[in-house]
Amino acid sequence: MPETDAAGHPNIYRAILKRSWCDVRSGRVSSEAFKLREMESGLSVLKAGGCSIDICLAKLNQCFGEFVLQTAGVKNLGLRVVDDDPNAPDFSENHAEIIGIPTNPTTLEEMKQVEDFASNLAAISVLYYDRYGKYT
Amino acid sequence: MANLLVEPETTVFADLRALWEEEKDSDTPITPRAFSTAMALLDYVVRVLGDMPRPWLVPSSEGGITIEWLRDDRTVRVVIPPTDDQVDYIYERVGRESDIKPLSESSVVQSLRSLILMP
Repeated sequence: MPETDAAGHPNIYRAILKRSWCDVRSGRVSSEAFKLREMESGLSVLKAGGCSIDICLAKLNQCFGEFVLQTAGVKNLGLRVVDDDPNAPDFSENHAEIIGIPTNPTTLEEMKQVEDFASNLAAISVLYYDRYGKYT
Repeated sequence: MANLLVEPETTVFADLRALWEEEKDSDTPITPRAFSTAMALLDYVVRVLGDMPRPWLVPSSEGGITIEWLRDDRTVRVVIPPTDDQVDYIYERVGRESDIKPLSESSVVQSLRSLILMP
């Protein structure tokens, strides 16, 4: 999969699946927003924002908004940001993945790496879009 | 006559119940296993430590719960997965240094005392 061009896409956007992933009082972003599900190989992100209350670009049933991260900042953490494979049946021009996070960790050391990456990604994320006005 | 001395439910338990209710209709509700483990842990911590800083309760995308205490650049994070076949653990972080250990009630109290409640 080709690397996402950080110059062309300086920011990437991560969907907020759970309301509590952003703390209303402090604005802090939860590390839970950056953990892989069991079947995932990378964290799904959008290369361009632009969701509205009626349109979820990530096509999710439940989405409370988006966090924004600098693409270069993600790479500086030792992770890769890659575009969809153009030959994949579910290819999307606007979709990319953050990869390099251990998948299905089984040892405490792997779990620690997962937590470290999730903490670091949360620390460089900020709220970008608040779909239902839950965070203001 | 109404009993005006009834104490309100301790905030942290009310927070956990509210999160449980809020997530009930989501695609991935909190599992009974994660909820009861979190409730038992918080009950133990409150009984041992009494007043404690209010934790940040966060649902995972798969039905688990994370309980997190923060102070300055210090974090104590308890991760409770949705199912029994996954491992509960405590993740500690001070600045950029981190550590992880299997979850036990006494370890959580120890971590809170050394990282969050210290003077």
